[in-house]
Amino acid sequence: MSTQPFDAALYRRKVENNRLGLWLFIVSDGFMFAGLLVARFYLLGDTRPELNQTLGLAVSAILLVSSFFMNRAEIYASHGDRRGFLFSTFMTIALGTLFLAGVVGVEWRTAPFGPADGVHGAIFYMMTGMHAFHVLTGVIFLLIIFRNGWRGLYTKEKHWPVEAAANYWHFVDVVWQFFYPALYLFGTVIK
Amino acid sequence: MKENEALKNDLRFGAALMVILVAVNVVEFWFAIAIKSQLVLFFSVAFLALVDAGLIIYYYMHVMRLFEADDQGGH
Repeated sequence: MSTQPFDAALYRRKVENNRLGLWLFIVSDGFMFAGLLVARFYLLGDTRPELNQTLGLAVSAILLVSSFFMNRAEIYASHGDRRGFLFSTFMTIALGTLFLAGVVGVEWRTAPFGPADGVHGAIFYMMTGMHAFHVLTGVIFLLIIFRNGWRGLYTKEKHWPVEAAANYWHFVDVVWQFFYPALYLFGTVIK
Repeated sequence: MKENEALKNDLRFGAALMVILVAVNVVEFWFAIAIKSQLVLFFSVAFLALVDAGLIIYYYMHVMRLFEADDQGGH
């Protein structure tokens, strides 16, 4: 087995390319979510589905706090603090799971309509379902970086996967910043 | 020592930003209850959503790193 010396300049160049690729993916994924948002306003106009607004606020706050912990995880990784990184990543995973439980486990079960009950049901389940799927894949991504961090694979100089996971997680949060008011706040309730 | 101070500053800034983001969400919620005109509500919450998204993209996602020169690192 051969060990190659760490080339910081080469690594930085690779990270620059990776970063550009990740952002291109994020922008393209953003277009898909923007399409869903346009569909919501085109089909529902100034009406909205009958939802629990307080629960909406609670899950939004949970997702924002999870983004805060994700940011901490990235900061700790960039300062070579393994313990801080692991704790913050664990908290992000826990809060992301709690968000999923709030939307899929509570809101979906208590909503007075199903996905096939008209256009408001279809739009609501499509938007929250697609978003929840991204949260789920984000949690899986975080579990992978947690495992790798546990094994000591990240250093102060080499932690691109942490930055990538953090950016993906924050992107999912950005999407929710638009979905939350569009679904829970704006419009009069359809009964 | 300097390294520790930089870490503390980064963490403190992240926490302050989180408080602002949650506060904006609460204001949105309050607008939805208090504002009766749907048009005014739409533009108010759309503006606040854009503020939240902009803050996250700029400070949490570090979008400006995309435009940094090769010899500069993040954080």
